[in-house]
Amino acid sequence: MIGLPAEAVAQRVHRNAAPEAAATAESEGGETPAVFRRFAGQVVKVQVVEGRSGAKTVTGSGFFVTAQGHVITNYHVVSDLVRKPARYHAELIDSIGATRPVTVVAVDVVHDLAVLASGSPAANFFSLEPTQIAQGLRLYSLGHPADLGIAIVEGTYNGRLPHTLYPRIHFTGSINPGMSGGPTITLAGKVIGVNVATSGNQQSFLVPVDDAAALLRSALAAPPRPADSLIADVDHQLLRYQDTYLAKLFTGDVPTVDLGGVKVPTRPAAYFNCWGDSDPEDQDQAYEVVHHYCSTDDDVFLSGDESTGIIDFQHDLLTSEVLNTFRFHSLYTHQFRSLGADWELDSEGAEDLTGYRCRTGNVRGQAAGRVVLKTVFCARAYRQLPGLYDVVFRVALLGHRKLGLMSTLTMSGVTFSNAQSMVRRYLGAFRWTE
Amino acid sequence: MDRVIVAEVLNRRGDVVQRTRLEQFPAGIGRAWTNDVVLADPTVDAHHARIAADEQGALFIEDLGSVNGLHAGSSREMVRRVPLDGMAMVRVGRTMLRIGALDTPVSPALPELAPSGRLAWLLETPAAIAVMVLAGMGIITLSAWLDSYEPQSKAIASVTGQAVAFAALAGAWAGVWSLIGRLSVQHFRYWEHTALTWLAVLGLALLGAFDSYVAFLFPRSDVLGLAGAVLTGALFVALIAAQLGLVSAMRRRRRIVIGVIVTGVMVALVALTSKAAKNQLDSESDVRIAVSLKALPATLIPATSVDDFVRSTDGLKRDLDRMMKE
Repeated sequence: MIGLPAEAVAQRVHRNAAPEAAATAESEGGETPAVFRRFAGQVVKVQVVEGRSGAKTVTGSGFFVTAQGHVITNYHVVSDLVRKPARYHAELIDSIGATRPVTVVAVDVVHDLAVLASGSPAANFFSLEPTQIAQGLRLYSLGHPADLGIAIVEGTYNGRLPHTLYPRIHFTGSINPGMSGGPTITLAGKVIGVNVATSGNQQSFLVPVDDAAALLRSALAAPPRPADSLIADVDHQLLRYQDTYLAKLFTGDVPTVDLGGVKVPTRPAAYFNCWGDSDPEDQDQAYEVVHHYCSTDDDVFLSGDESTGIIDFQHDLLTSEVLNTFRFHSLYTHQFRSLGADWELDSEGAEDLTGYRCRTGNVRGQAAGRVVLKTVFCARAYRQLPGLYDVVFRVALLGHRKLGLMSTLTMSGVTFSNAQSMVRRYLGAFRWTE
Repeated sequence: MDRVIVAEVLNRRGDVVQRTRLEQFPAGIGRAWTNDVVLADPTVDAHHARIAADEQGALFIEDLGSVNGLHAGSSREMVRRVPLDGMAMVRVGRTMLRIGALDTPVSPALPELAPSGRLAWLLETPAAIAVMVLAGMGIITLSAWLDSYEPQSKAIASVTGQAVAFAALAGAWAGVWSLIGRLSVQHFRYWEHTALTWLAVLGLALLGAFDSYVAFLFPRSDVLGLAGAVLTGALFVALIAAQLGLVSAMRRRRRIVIGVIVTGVMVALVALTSKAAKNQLDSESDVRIAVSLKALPATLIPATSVDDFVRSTDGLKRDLDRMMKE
């Protein structure tokens, strides 16, 4: 996960093989047992099994949505299966403990949803209909937390998250690992959303039911497809997603803040969040750094250690009273090469990603101006998702004796041409003063 | 008695410092001018020992009642007489004598090596050597200082540490060459080796600085970067060739060939160990953004337009797409 501060990272609530402490919801509400009795039978446990070891690698939850036995769950519960269909298979365990194999028939990686087909009919199922409800309404979340058996959690509906490009419902209730893919419903059994993530302290997030309904409709309309074609869907969805995401970014009038006499871009869209921080010069440090950091709240889960669809940028102003020009530039060089722990570019690559490669340049800040910038453009390619790249663009203002301004734009899961035009637009959003 | 033998006087390092041919026996050994082998050792008597033949005609060396006596080989025990059978080592006072037949093989003459070539004058006077060593140390200290960015008190400690470590390394490098010289031509020439080492350090430091400025100004020129690497290698080869000149009588061509081979091996070893270290420490090796930011005014820095830079990344995409298919 590139460049996202810990507080902004919502922990996904599927359950990995490593157990985590799970808390069970405690409540004495009179209606909850009734909800549980009526609807628990429509909620299933979904587990992904690794073929060679024969053991489960991920468990999550799901719920029946058709009489033919289609199940909605999260993409991130079955992502291993989508990415490596030869190595994994999935199974479903229903409320009476019967296990049956399931196949993935459709995925929506952006909204983190998947439709599974179980092949055997379901006696009771949830119908997915748009529902208007008021903030504060009591909701009930169902699922299999921590592989401990089915549980019901009470909570309240707190509207949609304000700063995301794609809607997420804010549910105040303790969704725990393993409940991913389970439904969150009203007293009457209307599905409001699909459990997807939590950031702890009862802050949980749901995918709105409309997105699940849309995916189900397209899955039912489409002919059956081989398991290894789903990754191509993921690729197309991500390509479309980043096109939408980046289309307007850094166009028009981008708000700026003053950093060391340069007007640097900030919060280019409502779905960005910005923070600032400074690291003052003192006895232990002969320089001062001021950070300004902006990132999106959205991210798209790809696999256990990879997220994509994150755009963030950071400006760092470096000044020093103590250091002479040469020593200051040694510091500037050092900071430019490695700023913070986020700046970690693997050159070797991995199974799913190539290593990073970079190009460096000296660039004029304005068409005819005397502002000169050092630029570094680094990228790596997604092996399984043709056309998508992670790109890190870094720029440093040159020509000042004791002032350094660096800026880094990080884009994950974007096309190369979008990354290139983003770099142009990003640089265009700076107002370098001479 | 028509026998002829030779007596060789060895110094404490085992070098032959005097060779005497003996044809008439008895032959005297001592400090007095009347001896056949005249020694300059103050612990030797005026008439210390003599070499004579017994009734059977066998030669022996015998003590003449000297203060410090006669010793066989390196033994501490004083003996009266030592038979001279073939090659014999005896000690009188502090002097080792090697006595043997005339046909004892004589080692070939050692070349008398003096620094040669255009830069030989640099090694000729202690002052020139001192200047080089000080200049090398100076530039190392200065560059360590300019590379540091801690507050002054911390920086001084770390810069001093680096300079001392570097001096120790250079001293050790020169020491290894001295030992090689001592073994091959019996000359340490430590200060000459030290001076050559620091001259190379000076050259490498200046070349490194030049290289990083060139890389800063012309980031997209691979040719200039390659030239820097080649020059650095050439400097290293020159250092090794020069040091080989002080420890052997090899021809210049041969010394350069050896220099190239040694440099190649060292580069390979460094590459292997750094790769191994990287694998050991962290399986994820980070891209080193080898970019330096220099204190130059903007007007002196050649720059392209943003569009040109962005277009230059097209090549990057081609590289990545090729890597993706591997």
